[in-house]
Order: sequence, then C-alpha cells, then structure tokens
Amino acid sequence: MTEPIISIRGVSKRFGGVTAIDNISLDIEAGEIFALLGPSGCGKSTLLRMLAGFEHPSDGSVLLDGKDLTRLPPNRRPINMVFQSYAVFPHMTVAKNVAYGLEMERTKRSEIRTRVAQALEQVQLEGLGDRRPDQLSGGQRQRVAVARALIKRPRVLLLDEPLSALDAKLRDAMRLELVKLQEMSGVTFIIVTHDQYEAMALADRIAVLENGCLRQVDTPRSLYNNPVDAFVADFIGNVHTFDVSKIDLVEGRMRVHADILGPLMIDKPIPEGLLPGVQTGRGRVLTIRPESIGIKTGETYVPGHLTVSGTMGDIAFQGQHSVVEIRINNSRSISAIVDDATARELDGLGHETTVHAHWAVADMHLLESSIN
Amino acid sequence: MPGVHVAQKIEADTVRFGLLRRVRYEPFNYSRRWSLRTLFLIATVFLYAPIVVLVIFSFNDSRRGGNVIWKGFTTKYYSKAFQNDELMLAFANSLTIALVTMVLAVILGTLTAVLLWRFRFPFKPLVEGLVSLPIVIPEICMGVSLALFFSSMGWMKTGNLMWPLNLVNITIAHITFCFPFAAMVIRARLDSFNRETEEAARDLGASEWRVLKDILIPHMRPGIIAAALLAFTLSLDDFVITFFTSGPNTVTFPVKIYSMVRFSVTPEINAASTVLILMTLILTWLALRYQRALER
Repeated sequence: MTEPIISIRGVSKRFGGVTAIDNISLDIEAGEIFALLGPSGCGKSTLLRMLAGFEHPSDGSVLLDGKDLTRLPPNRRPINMVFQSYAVFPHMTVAKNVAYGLEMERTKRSEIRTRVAQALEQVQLEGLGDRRPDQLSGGQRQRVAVARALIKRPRVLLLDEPLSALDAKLRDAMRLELVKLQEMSGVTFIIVTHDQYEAMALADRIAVLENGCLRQVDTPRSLYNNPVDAFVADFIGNVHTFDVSKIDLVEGRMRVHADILGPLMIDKPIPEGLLPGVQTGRGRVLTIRPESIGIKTGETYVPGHLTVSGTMGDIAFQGQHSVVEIRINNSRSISAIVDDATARELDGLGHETTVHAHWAVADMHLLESSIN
Repeated sequence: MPGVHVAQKIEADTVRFGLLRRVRYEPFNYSRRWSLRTLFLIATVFLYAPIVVLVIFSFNDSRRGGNVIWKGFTTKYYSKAFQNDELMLAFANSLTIALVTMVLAVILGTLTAVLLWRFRFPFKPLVEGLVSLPIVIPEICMGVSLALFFSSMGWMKTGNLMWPLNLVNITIAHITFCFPFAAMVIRARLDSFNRETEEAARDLGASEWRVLKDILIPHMRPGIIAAALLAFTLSLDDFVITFFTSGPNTVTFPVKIYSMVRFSVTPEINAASTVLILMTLILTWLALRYQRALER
C-alpha cells in the first residue's frame, strides 16, 4: 500500500456550540479523483476549507505526504483551490489572473510567460489572455480558475461544486474535461458536491457525509451495490425502504417482517448482536432500488421473487426508459424503471388497472435506517 | 359589426380634431410626456441659470456686479481678481486645505470602511453611528463646538504661525466632517466585494499585505476616487465650519468672497467664482475620464 497523499486524522470542527465536523478520519490516495458528497450542511465544504487552510480543526490533524500542515496558512500550502464562484480577479486580464500564483512565488518573467501560455492552452483558452473576466462566459471563467490553480503545480487541487453553476450541456463537457485534465496533470483532485451523479461520474472514490459524520468511503460501484445504511443507499441512486417490525432467527436464517411485505426469509449475513429468537427490528429497513423492480400484468410465479400488487399510477417518459408509479395503497406507492417497450405496453392499460411489481428477494438489502 | 366601426370613427375623429391625443408610450420613455419635459426644463433652469448668469456677468463692463444691465464685454475683472493679493491668498489657502483634507479624509475613510465592513467587535453599531454622526448634525453646531474646542485648547493662536501651519485648525475641522462621507462611499463599494477573490489570492500564495494591495484596494478604487472628489469639493466650498474655525490671518476663498460681498458686490467676485467653477468642472472631468480608462 502506498502512503496516502492526504491523511485526515480524527478531525472535528465546532463553531460555537454547533459541530460541523465530527471526528472524521480519511485517507486520500495520490492521483485519484476523490469526491466529498453529502446534502447541504453536512460539513463537506468545511472539510474542504480545512484542507485549503481557511478553517482550522478544533481537534485532530491534517497530513500531506506524512507532514502535519494543520496550522499552516493557505498561502504556504502546496494545495490550490477552484472556488464555487470561480473568484476570478475582475480587474486583471485572463493572463494576469493565471500568472498571479507564479508572481507570488517570484518566478522569472520569461518562465511565467511560457507557463501561462501552456496553462491557457491546457484549458483551451489560447488567444484569450488579453481578455477581461467580464468578457468571458461562465464556462470560460471556470477554465481561468482551473488554469490559475493548476499552474502552481499543486500536490492537490480542491474543487468546490465545480459543475453546479453550469448548464446541463456544458456540465457534461466540463466533466469530461476535468477527468482529462486530471489524467494529464496527474494532480490529485478533491471535489465537493451535493450531486450524486456528478460524484459518481467523476470520482474514483466517494466519501458520503451526513451531519458532519462520515458514513461510508468507497468506489461509486461499491457504494451503489453495498451501502452501509439507508442514507447512503438513498443518496447514491434512489431506493425504496420498508420499515422492519421484527426479525426471527429460524435455524440460522433470518425471517424479516417488514410493513407491507409480510414475513420474508432473507439470506444475508446476520447483523452483529442479533440473538436467536424474536428480535425487534426497530431501526432497520429493507431496501430495493427502482431499477431492480419488474412489472407484470398477470399473476405468474417467478422463483425467488416477491410480488406486490397495486394499481397503475403515472408514467414519466425519460427517453430510453420510463418511471412507472404503482399505488399499493392510499399512503404508499413505489416506482419502477422499465424499458420503452414495457412502458408502451403499460401505457395502454390506463389508470386503476391492477398490476404486479416483483423483484428478487436477493436484491434487497437489510440496512440500518438513517433516522436515528 | 357596425358598433366597432362607429367606435373607430369616433376615435379617429377625436384624434383628428385634437380632442383626445392617444399616444402610446414605450416603457420608460418618460421624455415623451410633456408634463415630465416641463418639469425637467424648470428644474434645469433653476439649477443652472444662476450659474450661467454669474459667468456671463463676470465679463460685464460695469462697476457693480449686481448690475443686471449689460454694459459691454471686458476681461479686466479677471486680471483684477488675479492681482488681488488677499483673494489669491484665500484661494491658495482653500486649495491647500482641500488637498490635505482630501488625502487624509480618504485614508481615514478607507480604514474606517474596511474596519466596519470586515470586523466584528463589541459596540459595533455604536461605532457605526458615531462615525456617521458628523453627516447628520447641523454644520452650525459642529462649527461652534469646534471653535470652542480649539479656543479652550489654546489652538486659536496657531493662526499666527507661518503658512501653511496656520491652516491646521481649519484642516482638522474639514477632515472631521469630510471623512465620514468618504467612509460611507467606500463602505458602499465594499458590499459588492466577493470574499472568495480574497481567499483565492491567499490560496495562490499572497500574504495579507499583497491581498490588500492586489485585490482589495483595486476593488475599492472607484469608491476611493469618488470619496476623494467628494472630500475635495466639500472642503473647497465649506463656509459655516470654516467661518467659525478661521482667524483674521487664515481666510479661505468662500469666507473671503463673503466678506467682499458684504463690502460691495463687484464683477471681480463673479470672475473669482467662475474660476472656481472651471476648476471643479476640470476635476470632475478628469475623474470621470480616469474611471472610464479603468473600466476599459
């Protein structure tokens, strides 16, 4: 195992009586794109600002290449940041903006000139060096911010919500470009985002945060397939949850009673601390993803599958696939993702027709509910 | 439908006979309304006609400046004004005071603005109120209180010192009432500052000092220029406070003109005032040009 480039060790941050970060430990490997993902107010931005040096931890330490930089001011860290507002200096030309970091290092004039030209070429802004920031589009301004940070050849580049201010088309293009820039420069990227799709598409590994606590760190695929709790499951993609009322251990297998599903035999690793006999299942849920749910009109038995009947609700067309709503009772409905052919078939049925949703019992997860 | 035709005919007739003018106004096209045009005209006349008359009659070949009868063109009152040593000294005094006031008021104003914008400290609302107090209290009160202050400190004797040290009282008084205006203007400019640009500069390796020099001051520059102009003009034409803080040897331009008017109104006063107007115009023009050059 190589040494991590950044090591966050037991870091906490309290603002007055409010705990923004609660004892987080995290290692980030050199050369990866790492995403800090969570809803607003989860502490991801505070963590990023600590890496940049704008905030100091109340407890714990931050290490870069094994050296403690917890108390180092931002201007003395080999870490640079691309701000959410881009923070391009409005009174300087593009070239001046990009050169600023090198001027602070007292780099030679001739070297600054060649490196600025290289940096502008890298972000496809050749020939725009003499422009003023107010003559640029939002996407171009972001490129200036990226070039300005990367020209310093930092050990780590921090990006605060890099795609949130761009429109959908530009976002896809910029996402690809950021990945390409990372590969070309080899710099470790740390991205803060509240957008699960952005994190999944960009990052090699994702840390999911909630209320200042670290929930799970893993690759996007592992997070999707093996979430540790219902919060992570729901944040990475969508998930339907069924509250568990009790769990029996029958001959070493779990029989789970969940609200509308009835008793089910679940062949999953038995959670720690579960004793034989009847257990309350409070705090646990069964989850299933909409894309694992199938729909059929007739009541045929599929081995290993569980069937729930309901009536047809709305169908939302989304191009390649459609989202179908099935009303199970007055208060509960589930949605399934189906292909276009199935959607067209279901579309002909009309509202209130009885249909059957089914999914493999093995696709369900028994997770701790996130509502503590 | 016949009803429609009748209605159209009536409308056409009323327009033709001028009974009812139907003009469709574009949004914000206020200049087409005659009522607003008239209002604009009246305002302009009352604002600028006295100044225009003042300038015209500075060239009037009459012994009395209040004389509204045109007696022929002359520039002799300009040379007379320029040869009037007392008037010229008053003019030099005013310019010196205004320049020193401008520089010090802008420095103090900038520091105050940054203090109020950036930091949180106990009794901040009180400090903010105290800073803006000189703007709202009547000038006459400030004049009297400053005069009392200077005389109780024994500073009124400074009027006998060598020039320009004898102007120190007036200059202190002017800085006192000018710097709150400067602070207000610069403080307003700071509201549009993006704090992330400051952090970005820090992140790129700038020290606190470089951030101030490279990021904060360039952002404040239009505000600083506006504040400097404001302080300069406020100081140059102040009468009330100056009147109370000046001695017999430290007469400023407005005070001098006032004493000349009391004595007798001659076109010399018109000429001197015209020079002052010209100077203000040139300064404003320079400031505007400088700002436009910055924007480019």
